Amino acid sequence: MNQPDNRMSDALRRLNAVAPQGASPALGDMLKDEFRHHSARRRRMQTVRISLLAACLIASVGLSLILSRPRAPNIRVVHEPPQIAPPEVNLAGLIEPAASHPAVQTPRARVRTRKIAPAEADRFVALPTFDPAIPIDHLEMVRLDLPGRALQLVGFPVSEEIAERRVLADVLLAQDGTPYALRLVRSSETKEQWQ
Amino acid sequence: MDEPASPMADSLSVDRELYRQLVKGREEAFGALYERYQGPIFRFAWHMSGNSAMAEDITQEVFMLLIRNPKNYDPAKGSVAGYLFGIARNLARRRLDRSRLDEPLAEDWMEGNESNVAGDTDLLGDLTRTELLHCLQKAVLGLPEQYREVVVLCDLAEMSYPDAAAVLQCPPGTVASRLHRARAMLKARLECQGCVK
Repeated sequence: MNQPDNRMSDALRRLNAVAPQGASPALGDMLKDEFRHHSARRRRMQTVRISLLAACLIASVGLSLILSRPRAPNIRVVHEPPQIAPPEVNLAGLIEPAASHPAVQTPRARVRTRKIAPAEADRFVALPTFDPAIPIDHLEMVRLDLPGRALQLVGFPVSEEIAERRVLADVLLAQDGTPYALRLVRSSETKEQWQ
Repeated sequence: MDEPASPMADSLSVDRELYRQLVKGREEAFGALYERYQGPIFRFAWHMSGNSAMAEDITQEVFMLLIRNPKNYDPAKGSVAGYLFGIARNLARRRLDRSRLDEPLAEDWMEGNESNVAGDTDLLGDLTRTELLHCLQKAVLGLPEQYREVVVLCDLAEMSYPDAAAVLQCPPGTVASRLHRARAMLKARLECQGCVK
């Protein structure tokens, strides 16, 4: 740097020295206040965000737990002494005593061919193979045309007269094929519903 | 006031630590950074605008931006001082554009007088007198913006060329050449105003 440049620099330094040295103290106070408020606001928002996130997390965990919990079979067994009144002509008489046997309610049961209405489910009679301790996710209902004696073999109480006939029966099967409950079907019902 | 001798000097790590604390919401860190840089920023704005109110407004805006968007600063891109001066520079430019205060000297006037004053060694002798400093300030304010910036940063704020280059986002060589030219223009302007014999 030559002499004139040095002089110029000196002069500029002097100019800088006589210039106002800073902003007013009021500005500093105002900015510090603003920083304090802004930080507090940011902290509050962060807290709210974290709380919301935690709430969402808890809700989603709870929901997933509820959804993943194995469903109870919702089968109610009514332990009452079996009182079976054998039918005269059609099978209606046999269907009625179902209420007096351990009844199976399967409102959530999935059926391969059609849904079982709760009223219908009430008419099923639990077989000896039915074990309420075993969790059942869904049941399948199959309709069978079989000799009455076969019903006796699976533990369904039938009269001697019915045992000699061929009957239509809806059987609730577990996933492993075990028959859990059974009901006899009226012939008229067969025509209307089992299409 | 705990102000660094040069805003861009060796306090880089201290500044970064203060900034880190500021981002976490520590009021003391903000206070310390403010005390360190409000003076240099204010003076930069004052020299650029020649107006105390505007300089105060610019200083306020720089620090408000720091408060509202503390995460805008990227340490990888430069120093805290450079970042603050960069904001101040942009704000000053915007405001000067708006207020039409920056009226650069006509290029033909500058070209014609630079050569005449360049070799005059006694020209600036009188400038050491305090009463002539006002002339110098007027001359600085009369410089075109890009030259005024380098004079303010390098001569007034005593920034190094690389630091000034970081603020101005140009190569250090450009800063040096602009500064040389700015000084020549200042001399010419002072002579033209009759401030120096």
